Amino acid sequence: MGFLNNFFNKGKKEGIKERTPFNLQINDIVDYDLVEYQVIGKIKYTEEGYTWYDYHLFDGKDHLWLYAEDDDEIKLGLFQKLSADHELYSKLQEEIPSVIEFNGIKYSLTENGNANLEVEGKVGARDGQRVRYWDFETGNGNQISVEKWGNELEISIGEVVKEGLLEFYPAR
Amino acid sequence: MGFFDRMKTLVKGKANEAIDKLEDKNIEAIVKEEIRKMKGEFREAKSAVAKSITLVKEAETKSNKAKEEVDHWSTRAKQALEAGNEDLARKALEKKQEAEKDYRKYQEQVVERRRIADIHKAKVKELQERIEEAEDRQDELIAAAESARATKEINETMSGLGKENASDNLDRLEKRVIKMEAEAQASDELYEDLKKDDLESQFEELENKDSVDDELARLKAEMNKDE
Repeated sequence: MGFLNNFFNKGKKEGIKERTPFNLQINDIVDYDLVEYQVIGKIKYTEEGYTWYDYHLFDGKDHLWLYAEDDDEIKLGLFQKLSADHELYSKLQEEIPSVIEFNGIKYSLTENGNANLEVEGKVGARDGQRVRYWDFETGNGNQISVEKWGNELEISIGEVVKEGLLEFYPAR
Repeated sequence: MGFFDRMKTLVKGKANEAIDKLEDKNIEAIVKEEIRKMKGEFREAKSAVAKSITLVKEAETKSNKAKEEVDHWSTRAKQALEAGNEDLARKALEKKQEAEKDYRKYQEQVVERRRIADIHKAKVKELQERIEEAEDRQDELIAAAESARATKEINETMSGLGKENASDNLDRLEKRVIKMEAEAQASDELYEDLKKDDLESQFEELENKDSVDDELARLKAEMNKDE
């Protein structure tokens, strides 16, 4: 009977927590634009009390990074690392400029700083490590993320994610 | 139907009636609780989908590896033939055929697991639509239930069914007065009877006493005569 079940279940704690871009867990499934990815790593960045996330996604073939930030409004991006032999690496090795040109499009610097990391799963970084970062954007939302790990640069190209096209399936 | 079955049915009927009454009173809480439960089920169902997609991914990974092996041994067989080593080419082809067998097996798994994952996804979608519909109808449902409850209460009052009303109380009092009057009358009659019974017994006693005195006198007279 419904009522008795309601009555007895009232004190029980919630089972699976609803997923948002800010609480995804390792092994969760992220479905975006008809492609399913598994979360295989997670990085939580903090800088002066401010927090954002990068999730390492793998669809069995490609590795992508889902970026999630809540800065007055929710900002989501899907990034793919630029191949290490791309010429942009050598261009940015000495100095990070305020404007980057990539595939004929100009990206402007919007934010930069130093963040502390908390990591889980496969991310290629250590817990407690620090990273220096620069974010670039075009007017239409295309993005470039530049991170410096020690002396090593990591460049990722991203596009804005439409939240409505995202679906999360939580692992236990 | 045996005694215990009848008892069970009776108890169940009473319990359901009590629960229905409670549900009627708490309809808003019940509706909200049902939606909360549906959302819990929705999260569970989503988790089941995550599991089925993970199984697809695992089969895809195995299938991709098997395909790489097929390509690897195919290239090796060609290289061996080009080098004129037919034995080595034969061994490479045997390996290639084993890998092909695995590849086909994993491909079948991919297809089957994908079919199941798609069914699960469709069910999750259906559940999501049901929740959205229930949330849309939540206020409407609560309002309809409250309106039905008010109508029922009015009808019960009007027809004198269910709860006692003022008119019921007057009827009950009147009947009680009539009963008291009847009881009072009955007790009067009983008292009269009792009084009557008491006088008669005194007369009877007197009569009895007289007969004893008579017999005593008679006895005395006889004894005096004998002397």
